[in-house]
Amino acid sequence: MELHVKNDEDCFRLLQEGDPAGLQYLIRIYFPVLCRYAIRILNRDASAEDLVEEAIIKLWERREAFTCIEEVKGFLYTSIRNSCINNIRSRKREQARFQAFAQIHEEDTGACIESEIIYAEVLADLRRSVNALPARMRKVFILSHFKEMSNQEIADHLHLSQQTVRNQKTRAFRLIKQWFKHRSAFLWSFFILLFFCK
Amino acid sequence: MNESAIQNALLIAGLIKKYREDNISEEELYALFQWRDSHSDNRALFDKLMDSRELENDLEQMEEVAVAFYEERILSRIAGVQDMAVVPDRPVRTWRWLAAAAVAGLILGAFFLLPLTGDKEQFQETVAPVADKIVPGSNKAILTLTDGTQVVLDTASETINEKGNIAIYRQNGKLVYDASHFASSGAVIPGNTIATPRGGQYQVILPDGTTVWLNAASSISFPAVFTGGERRVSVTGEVYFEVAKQFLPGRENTRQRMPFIVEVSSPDNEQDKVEVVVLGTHFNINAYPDEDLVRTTLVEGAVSVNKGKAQVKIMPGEQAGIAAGSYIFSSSRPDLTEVLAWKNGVFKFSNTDITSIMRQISRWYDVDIRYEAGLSSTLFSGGISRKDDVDKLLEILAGDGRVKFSVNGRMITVQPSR
Repeated sequence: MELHVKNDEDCFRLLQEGDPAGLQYLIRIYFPVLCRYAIRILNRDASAEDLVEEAIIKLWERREAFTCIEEVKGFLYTSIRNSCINNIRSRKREQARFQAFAQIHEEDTGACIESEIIYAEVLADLRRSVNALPARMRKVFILSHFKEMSNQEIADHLHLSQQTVRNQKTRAFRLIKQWFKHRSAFLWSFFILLFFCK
Repeated sequence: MNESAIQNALLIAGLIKKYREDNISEEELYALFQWRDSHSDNRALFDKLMDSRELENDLEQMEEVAVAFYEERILSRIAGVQDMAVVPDRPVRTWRWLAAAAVAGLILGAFFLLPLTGDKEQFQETVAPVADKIVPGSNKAILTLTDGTQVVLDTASETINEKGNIAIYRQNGKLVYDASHFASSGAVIPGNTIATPRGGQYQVILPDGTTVWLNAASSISFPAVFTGGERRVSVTGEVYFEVAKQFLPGRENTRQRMPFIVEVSSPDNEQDKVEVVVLGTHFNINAYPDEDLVRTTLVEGAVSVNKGKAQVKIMPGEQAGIAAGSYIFSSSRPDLTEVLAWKNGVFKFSNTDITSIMRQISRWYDVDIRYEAGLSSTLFSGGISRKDDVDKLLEILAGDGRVKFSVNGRMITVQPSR
């Protein structure tokens, strides 16, 4: 299922028009990013998918109230943070059954919210870059870069020739090269080496 | 924590994005470095973002999240489709009481009428004796150890010890294998089986960290520790897997993965099994003997499904089905929320045949089903929590008057409506 929405501005326009494709874009790009953000706030290894799902549903229900995409993002980050805090609060209440109402301090949330939002946004931007790759190139990139499959395995799985796999990898690499822009020279040459060894 | 702090964070993130793209103006660069140098935490965050290593790791971790599943679920929720049936606001207890009173009246009445007429009521529920009450399923399974000992798994939590110093921890509804202290005491690797009865479900964490969910009337057999060049398990019924990534021993630098193979024994003959070969992923196998096809649905990752020489490779969101005795796979893109509904504690049907629905009900509620003649093959949509009583579900299905149900002890009869 290809995503036709490619950027935040289009997404916002579609949300305003009530087109679910806008929400679909947000889910594709942001869902795992927001799950990670929530886990950082909760400061425990729990799954946050349901929490994020509810925030996205709430967002859709009040989509007409936002005036720009930044407000949409702000809503998601705030809403999820609040849900996390409620979650922490009710768990604390269970633990401290005989004490008075438990106080929540910034330390409890295990994160500095501004830093977490900045990190999440950069992560989302990278995810958008990968998602923006043409379908076949993206599959090759994900299978080689994240699933660490060999060229042969990828060729078999996608019914391509090994040469096509190599070409697709080169082109994906070029398109996403901005990732590597600010790495140190050492890491840069290390990756070049790795790339040619595959 | 206020609105402007968030907007400020979004602003900085925007500047960082422009910086990475080499698309930043002088003023913006100045503002970015101002932020960076204003606090050591900001400096640390900036450096971390420029290094990209942690970003890459997180990006990789995010590939494991089942986005497709949540996407479908969210989109269908906002589409306003009433997937979770609207239960009328009278509490269930009242309904039961009314029904019991009504039935009492009917029984009295019928006693007099029976010799005269053979009338059938619209919706009839016999008040079942307490011992035979139909309740929804729960966490129940039986573990068979390598020496044949059987352990009933319910809510108890003592650790079980298997040969070769393997520990099996019990938590409510979940079994966790710890083979880290495995001491090979001979050639035989202990083999275990976990089986759920009708009305049961269970979760297991295999020795390699793979998580398995078992639906009702299902089983998984596996070695208590994985050695050798592959991880092989065999299943019956319906099982959902989240396979842990594992590399071949001694081959970590070539990053060759140790394949995970799930065998489904074929009802026709032993040799004819379906095998799903997995490379680190999430997928669902539905292989009940009373279903027409063995269905493998991939949520994330990559699998290839094999039977004899036939093979099909599926992508996330796809389902491969194969019938007994056939070597041809069919593939489709089903609604993932329907396929995985059981694992999420709900039933969900959309345009599903009544017999398929009743088979699922029979496994979860441990009841038998009988069909009267004259039933047309109409399709049903709806859903309900698996924790709810069967009457609620039957009420929804009978809701628009196309079928009727009659419950007698543990037997549910499906009748055409007049």
